[in-house]
Amino acid sequence: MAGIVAVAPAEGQLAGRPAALWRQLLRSPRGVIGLAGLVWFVGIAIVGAILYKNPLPTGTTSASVFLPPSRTYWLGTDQLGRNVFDEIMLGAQVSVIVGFAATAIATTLGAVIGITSGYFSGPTDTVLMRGTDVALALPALPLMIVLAAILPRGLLTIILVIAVTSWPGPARIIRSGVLSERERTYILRARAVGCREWRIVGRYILPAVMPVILANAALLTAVAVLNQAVLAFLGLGDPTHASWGNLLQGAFDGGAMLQGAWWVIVPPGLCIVGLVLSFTLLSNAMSEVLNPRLNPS
Amino acid sequence: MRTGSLRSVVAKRLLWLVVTLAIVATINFWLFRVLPGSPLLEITREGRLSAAAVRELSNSFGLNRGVGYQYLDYLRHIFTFNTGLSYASQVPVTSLLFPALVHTLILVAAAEFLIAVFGVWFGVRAGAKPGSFLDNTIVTSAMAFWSVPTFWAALLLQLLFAVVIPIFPIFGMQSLSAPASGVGHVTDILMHLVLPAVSLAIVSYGQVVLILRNSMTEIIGEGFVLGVRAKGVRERKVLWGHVVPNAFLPTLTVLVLSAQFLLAGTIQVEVVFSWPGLGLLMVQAVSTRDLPVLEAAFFLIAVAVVVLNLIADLLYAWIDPRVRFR
Repeated sequence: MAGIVAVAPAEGQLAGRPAALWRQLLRSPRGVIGLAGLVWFVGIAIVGAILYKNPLPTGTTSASVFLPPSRTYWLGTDQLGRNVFDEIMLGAQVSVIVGFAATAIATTLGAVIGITSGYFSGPTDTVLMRGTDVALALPALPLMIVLAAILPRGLLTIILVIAVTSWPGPARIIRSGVLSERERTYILRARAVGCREWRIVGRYILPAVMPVILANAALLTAVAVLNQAVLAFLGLGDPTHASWGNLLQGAFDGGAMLQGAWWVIVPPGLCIVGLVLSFTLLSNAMSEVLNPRLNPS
Repeated sequence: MRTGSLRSVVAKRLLWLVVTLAIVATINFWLFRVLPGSPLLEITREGRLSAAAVRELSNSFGLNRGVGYQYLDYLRHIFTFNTGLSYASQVPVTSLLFPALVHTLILVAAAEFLIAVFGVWFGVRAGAKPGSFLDNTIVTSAMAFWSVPTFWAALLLQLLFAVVIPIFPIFGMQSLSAPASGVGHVTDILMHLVLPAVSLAIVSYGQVVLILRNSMTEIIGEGFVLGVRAKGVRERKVLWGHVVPNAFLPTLTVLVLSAQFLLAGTIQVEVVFSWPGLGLLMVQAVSTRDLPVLEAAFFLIAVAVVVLNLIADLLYAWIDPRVRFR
């Protein structure tokens, strides 16, 4: 599912000025919508974490199962008589936490491999990139299913499983960013005046490729949120904590489709789409800022 | 061997294929042998066995030998498709695997067809006038559909067209009441195929749209397009005769590679519609802890994906000679 937007840096576009990137981002409609969506869902996650306690109370009688939306239950109840609105509020934090944590791990791993590979070319580069190729060639979701099935259930497993399958993309993209940056004159000058290699990497190369890393990280987060929902729906999530994917899985297994209980199916899905779309729009806006040829208007 | 000849590219890629497959097989071995603790515990979980019986089992599975021996044994088995018996149903794993593979291929082929048609159409419309209202609408909606989890798209379609408006069947690949052969059989399968294939296509066509659109906007800005226009060639002919063929290269690779992403979607769609393919088999194997089936299904999918990547690479090298000289 990865790689929908090619975030390849155009020659000479990597100015490495975060403030300028930020200003241009706020001028792009997609960037603004993406940021607004992001703030909205992180807000829901924080409010949900403060107001609700896991696990939510279930219904007391069989009459409280699959109730349609009403004044007491704004989004109805699920197969166990739980309030769907409360579940959505409480479940938001799982998507947000998994999205950010998995992306942080995958991006760090990808950046370390990408920068090492791109900067110190030669055999290091060959070995690392061949390894990345193999990792890219593995089918991500089947691998996630196998890993999640073998490792103990829980939030940490989900984060690790998603991170393990998503570092190769950033590694390649960051490497190509480093390759174009490495040959620029100021790097040669820095080396000529005796700047040490790790200092060049930390002081010049890393800041220069940072915009590319960030644009790709936004996309990775979108993919991570999607994958968390998918794993939960396939019954591989953390069963002890409410999440949007768990809500859908429980409803599907509990016969929501045959009952026509759309109120359990539609709202959590819309939340997933909203959060994923926010990150996708943000990433798209960032890569257009980085590569203006894509958007001549 | 001269670098750049098609044959040398093929040879290099084939060698690479073998290396990748060996690594995949090794990962598979370690995942299933080394990670989950003792395999004997998995087998004997159902009943209590005496120490003698455990030793007996251990001998017959070669578990008392070294890991190296087990690894070679495993390689021999997996490449001869001798993948053992399913824990859950006690039939050979291959007898479950191959029908499931065929069912998955039917689904993927149908979805890939829809993606090619709609993805190319929308991609060309958007790329022809970058920055226009139509372009923005197509790109934004492609991204919106891409943000939809495949299983949720499948759930919505199922809710709408199988429960609220019951046009299509909700479950499985064929009805029990339908004829077992002939036109009736095919129509029955096609009816079952519509919703799963559409769910898959609707979330995946966006990728083709975006890649085609972006490579079209780059090609339109090139000098030769201006030249063709200056000759007085009609805009429609410029677009379909000159821009699209040149922009199509990256898209073609995406079409082949999207099969890999389709695979991820297929697993979800198969679960929602109970389509008896590899994905459903895998997910069921997880819930019944049927490790031989899970392992073989994963390996088969990995091999399929690696081979697809190879096909994409070779296709690219064959069509675009520039690639060979990289």
